[in-house]
Amino acid sequence: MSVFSVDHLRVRFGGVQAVRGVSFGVESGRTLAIVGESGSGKSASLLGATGLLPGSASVEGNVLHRGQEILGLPDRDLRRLRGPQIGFVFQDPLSNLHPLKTIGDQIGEAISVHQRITRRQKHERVLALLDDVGIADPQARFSDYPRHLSGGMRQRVMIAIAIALDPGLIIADEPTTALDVTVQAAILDLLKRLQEEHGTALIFVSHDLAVVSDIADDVVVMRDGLVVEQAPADDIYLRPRQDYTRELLGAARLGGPKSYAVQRDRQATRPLLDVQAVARSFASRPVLDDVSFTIGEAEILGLVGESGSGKSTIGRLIAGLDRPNAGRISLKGRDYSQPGSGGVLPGDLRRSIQVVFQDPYASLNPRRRIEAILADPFVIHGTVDKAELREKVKQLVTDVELSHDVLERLPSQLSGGQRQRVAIARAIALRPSLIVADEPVSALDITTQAKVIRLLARLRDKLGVSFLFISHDLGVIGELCDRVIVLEKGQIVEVGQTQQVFERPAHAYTRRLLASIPGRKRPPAEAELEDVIYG
Amino acid sequence: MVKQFSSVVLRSISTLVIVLILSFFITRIAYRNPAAMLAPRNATQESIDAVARALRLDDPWYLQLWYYLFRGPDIQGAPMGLMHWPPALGYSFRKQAPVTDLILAKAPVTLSLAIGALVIWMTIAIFSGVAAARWQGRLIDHVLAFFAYVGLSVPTFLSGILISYFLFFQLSNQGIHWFPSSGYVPLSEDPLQWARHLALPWATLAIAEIGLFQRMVRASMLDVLGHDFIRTARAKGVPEGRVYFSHALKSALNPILTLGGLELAAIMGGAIVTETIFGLDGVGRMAIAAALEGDFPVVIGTTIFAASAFITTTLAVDLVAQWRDPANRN
Repeated sequence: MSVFSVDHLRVRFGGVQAVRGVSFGVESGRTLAIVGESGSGKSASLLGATGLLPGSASVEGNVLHRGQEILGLPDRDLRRLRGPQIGFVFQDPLSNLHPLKTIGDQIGEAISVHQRITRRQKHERVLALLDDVGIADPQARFSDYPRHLSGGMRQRVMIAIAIALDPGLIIADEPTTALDVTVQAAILDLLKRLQEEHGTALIFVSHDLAVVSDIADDVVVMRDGLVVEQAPADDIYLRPRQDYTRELLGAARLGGPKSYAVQRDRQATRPLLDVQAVARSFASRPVLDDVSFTIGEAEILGLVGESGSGKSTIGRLIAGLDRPNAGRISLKGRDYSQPGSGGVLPGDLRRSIQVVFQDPYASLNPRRRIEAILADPFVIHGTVDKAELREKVKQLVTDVELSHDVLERLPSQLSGGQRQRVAIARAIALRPSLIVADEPVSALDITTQAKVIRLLARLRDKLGVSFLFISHDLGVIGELCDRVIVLEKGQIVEVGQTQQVFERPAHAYTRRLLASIPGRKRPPAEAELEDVIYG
Repeated sequence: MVKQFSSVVLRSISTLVIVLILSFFITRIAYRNPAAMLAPRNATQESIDAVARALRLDDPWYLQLWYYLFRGPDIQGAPMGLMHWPPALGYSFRKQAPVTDLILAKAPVTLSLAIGALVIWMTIAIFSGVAAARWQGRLIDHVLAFFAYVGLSVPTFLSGILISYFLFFQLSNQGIHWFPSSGYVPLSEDPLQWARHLALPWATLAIAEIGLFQRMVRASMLDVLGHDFIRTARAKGVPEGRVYFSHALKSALNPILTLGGLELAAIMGGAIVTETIFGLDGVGRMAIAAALEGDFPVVIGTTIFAASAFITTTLAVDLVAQWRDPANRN
């Protein structure tokens, strides 16, 4: 008998039917992966089934927990299930943990709201849980706040909350999406280990077939609120029956990049950007140490490293948003960033160096229409004629392969991929020679990632612009970048042609990063799959 | 930490000095001929001049400021000078007493009034604001909004008089003497009488503030309730009451604390209307009386008292906010 199953589940938000009748189930000790793009209804169906959606959502169908119908149960009864019977792990552990409560309190509460225990017992059980999820020195971490922990540690805390009462089912909603590749691998291992030890049923939601490839027993592929394909994992990965599953498989980088960027030795050309012996520290904590590299004309240079390795600091220094403590940075032989205080980039250099940030939700002003956002660069740098402005903005939108009707919309009316295209359009508006792209696809679905990456490659070919492409994900880097720099703790540990670094990594750290790419146990399916998406 | 603390102290002191100098000059401009206001009504020019000379009011302004700040002539044996210990805020010509003593005598009334009202309005506003947020859009939300806006829009002089009329006058007519009409009994003398005498003024002040704060609590709560960590709490099986009061309210409190501090300070600076209606002899009434009578040392003194109240409460709010912020822990 299934631990948890839904049958003909439908979820509606106002006039929007988010889930249109889905059925799936999971048994003890098994892992069900639900895969689909954002908006496919995968989270909505699980949250709806467990009563965690706001009251404005209406949920219909059947939800069985150990054979008992739980849909429509009063709040009080549902509350008794959540925690002791069903544990939850959500996507972003920072926003999902209470910022003003210590992690010890938050884990302890998961126990004390369901069981009467003394403070001392609670304290001990929390310490045991912290130890169980692999947090070193639990006693010292007990009274830390979430902001004191790294992303991976926070997600371990979330998992500790989920397993606190040893539930029979854990629902993990994109639990590794916001994390570094290496941390993701560790969290996946942890979930798998806990599941094996406790015989828990696991429902794992993800947008990426590669992430779930090592742990899924069964896979449900969802799209537009419907189940597209539902099969044991082997069938999904080896014998996908639906086109959409093939498309998802095509976008998933199982165990490494599908293909490498076409090798062109762009470095040989005159270097565009020259970074010499740059160092930066914040409050006597060194972040970067003796970093030197160059970027050639029309070259895409990948910069890879984990959170805290200093890669975003390099991006900020090159973009002229910060100054180094030592060393210098020059563009076309012109120094512009030296040690010292104050001073933004001179106007002409600002035009030449543009930035695309990670979060397309945060980097666009939510109250301004796309047309106004895209007109800004031209207005700031001199164009005032209305008709001319409109033409230029339209051209930009065409350049990033969006339709003209987005101009009238607000950022909130666009999808994540569309927003990131707008951010890219804003960056290329003034025909810069270099764009610093800081994790530009990390917040996007895997299928959208593939599309944005191809857009960047085409823009490079068309406009001859160079990119510094910052990412924690080697898979993305491999498909796009000509060369790659590997950064560890503020120091460059490896530089080289992308394919060479991937196939013959020289440094142990690089090898560790490569080994963390999910899906290595599932060799990429047959080559023609790529044509579906790369055609 | 020490550096931070000393910079805060320095900033507070410089604010006070600026307030003092500004109020000193304003009284100089407002009261052209203080000696004439102080002298008896039918005084001759000579006796007015004599008053001016005795109080050194004929000296140039910088000397007068010097006397005020450091050491002026002792008046009736009372020293003058802020930098002196204990600091003396001058001498009231009308009341024939040192201003410091006058303020210290009235401060407990004002403080009791302000802090009591704060406790009442915060308690009611938080509970009703949380209720309005929890049942957003339902009948109770609309009812609470109605009362909030009524309370907000009725001016204190009206609500004070209505409260006095119904809860004192009409009740007394029925033979029920729950609330006295006016007066003040110190807390140390008789806590029950203290509360009885202050109940109506507290209610008057609280009515206006509850409206404002209930709306703020509601808005702040609704904002926080959309956050992911609220869903986490529910996913843990935390009961709804605890989700609202322990999880959501904890995050929603910062803007409410900030405004609460400012409103508290404003009332300490003088809840003049309320003090007048209920015959409370507080700092606000004294300030108004002094301003009308030209008793400028009292005017300056009460201004400094109000400014200190502002500085102290904002400082306290800052400290609480910092203490709540995990960035400053560990």
